[in-house]
Amino acid sequence: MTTEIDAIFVGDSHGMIMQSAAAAHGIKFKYPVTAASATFGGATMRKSENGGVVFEIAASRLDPDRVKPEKISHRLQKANSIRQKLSVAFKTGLPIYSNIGMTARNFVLGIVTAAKANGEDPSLLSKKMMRLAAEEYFQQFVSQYDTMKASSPRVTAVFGPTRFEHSSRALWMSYDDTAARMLRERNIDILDLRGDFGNEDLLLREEFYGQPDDGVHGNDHWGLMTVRKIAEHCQRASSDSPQKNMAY
Amino acid sequence: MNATNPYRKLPRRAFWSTSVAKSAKMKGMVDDLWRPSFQLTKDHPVATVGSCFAQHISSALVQAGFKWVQAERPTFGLSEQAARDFGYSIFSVRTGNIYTTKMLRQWLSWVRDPETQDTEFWESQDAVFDPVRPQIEPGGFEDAEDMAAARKSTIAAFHRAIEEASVFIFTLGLTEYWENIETGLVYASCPGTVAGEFDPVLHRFRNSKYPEILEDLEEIRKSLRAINPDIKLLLTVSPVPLVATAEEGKHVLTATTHSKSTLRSAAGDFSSNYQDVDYFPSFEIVTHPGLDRQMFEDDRRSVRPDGVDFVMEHFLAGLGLVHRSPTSRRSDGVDAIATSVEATLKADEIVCEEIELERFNDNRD
Repeated sequence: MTTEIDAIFVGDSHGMIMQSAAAAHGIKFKYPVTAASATFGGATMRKSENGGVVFEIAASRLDPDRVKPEKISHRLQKANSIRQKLSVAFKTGLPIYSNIGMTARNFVLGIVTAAKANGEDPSLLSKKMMRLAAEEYFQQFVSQYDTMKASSPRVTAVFGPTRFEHSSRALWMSYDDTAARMLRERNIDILDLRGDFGNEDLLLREEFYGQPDDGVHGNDHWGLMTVRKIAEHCQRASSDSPQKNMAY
Repeated sequence: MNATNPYRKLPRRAFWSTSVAKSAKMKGMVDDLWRPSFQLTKDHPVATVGSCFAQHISSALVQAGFKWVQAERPTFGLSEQAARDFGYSIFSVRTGNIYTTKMLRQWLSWVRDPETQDTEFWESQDAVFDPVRPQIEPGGFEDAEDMAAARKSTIAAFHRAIEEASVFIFTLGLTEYWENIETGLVYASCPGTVAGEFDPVLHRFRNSKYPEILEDLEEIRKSLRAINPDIKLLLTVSPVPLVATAEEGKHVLTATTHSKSTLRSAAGDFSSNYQDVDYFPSFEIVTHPGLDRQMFEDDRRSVRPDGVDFVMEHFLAGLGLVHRSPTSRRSDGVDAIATSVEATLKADEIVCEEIELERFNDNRD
């Protein structure tokens, strides 16, 4: 028997794991829209004049000087597919769950790699600077969340798996806190499951590591449990919300 | 009377009429003004620190295609503007302005032995400021731990900058400074101006005299060479006048002349002592009335973009990178510098702690 979550899900590669793991157990979102995180990074997502959605991949990912033509073509097709799916999904006004930009890994990796390449120690960055860097980095996702918010009264962001190296925990947490704050300022809810799957430091517990483990993602068990938590949240929020009938 | 004497053999550059007066008349460059005492090409990594004016040198070097050492780079994710606000990309390291030889000497002693650094910090209600670079973190650090970590990072970067650089350019700005009487810590600005609280019992005004500056320069050279034995030192003196003088009973005009003359004299004498030290005359190019150029903005303090441009043209000409007669037109490279300098000034991007003193002038008209 299939259980359908009455919601739209906009997700990256972590979202794909969630989606496939849940599907294997007969749980699916009504409107899933997933792609690799790079597809959403710096992308333009806005409402079009005809009520649909414009979705454009960041120009740097379509630069013919750096990207092969066949790859550009593939990316454009993917963008078009996302545009179509979002256009259909956003017209329903259903609650939206999204994890795009909600995993600090690329941000932390960028800081650590760049600092080390320059012989610097990333752990010496001040808290203020970390926050500002996180804020500026997360900007690439903000307008996409704004579009989601303009399309649905209930938008909820979900953190991805927390998989920091011990030395970069402060960076990771700074990013998570900043992203959450920026979204809350937009009346976007945060479904924080880091404690549910993490240890006392919020680091993802080993039982949720993949086999083999890529050091980045959670396993199917993590994916399934996350989707179940989303389903519970969605049901609870729908019954709590005075706007519950608006979307259906 | 002998028909020949030493003056007959002197080149045009040795005579005022055929050099300065001529260039003033032609409204062009002063030919053959600076002959570098060591080689400097675009392939030589150059590190820059110093006063506000040194920022022009950094940006002009970059625009001219020099290999500018940027040992402390903005962190990933930070925008260009935010990076500048946090003191990145202004000097080779995130030191903020280093106005005095005393201050550079202090930094270098910490670079050589970080354990010796002073750990004083200035605390306000909700922020902590670094007394040697109070503007480096906009609004201050959140705690002393952050300040110490950031200082540690800069000290390590400073070491790398010296290791990497072939030429270290230091623009001397001031002789006046403030220090902690008990610890001897030299401050970047007077406590209570940019940040901190002034305590007349603890804080003392000092005005370096010529012998002290020479001694500081000796120590600076020694420290630089201890880290990089091949490094060359290029000194310049900022032509920018003092915002204010704390010297009791002195007028800011005479204090400026005194300060700049001392710096100029010390830099000249020191550079003549060593082949690996040189002096570039940005001070003369901007301030000498003989050149008959409008070099300052209406505040009579900020150097006009075309003035900075004029300085850098001489710098490049000295290196043989731009060959110009007094009436020649600009080359593309020089135009690029001009554009860069103008943009920097227009954007009000010069980061200057000293200018904060103007806020305390209660007697403005």
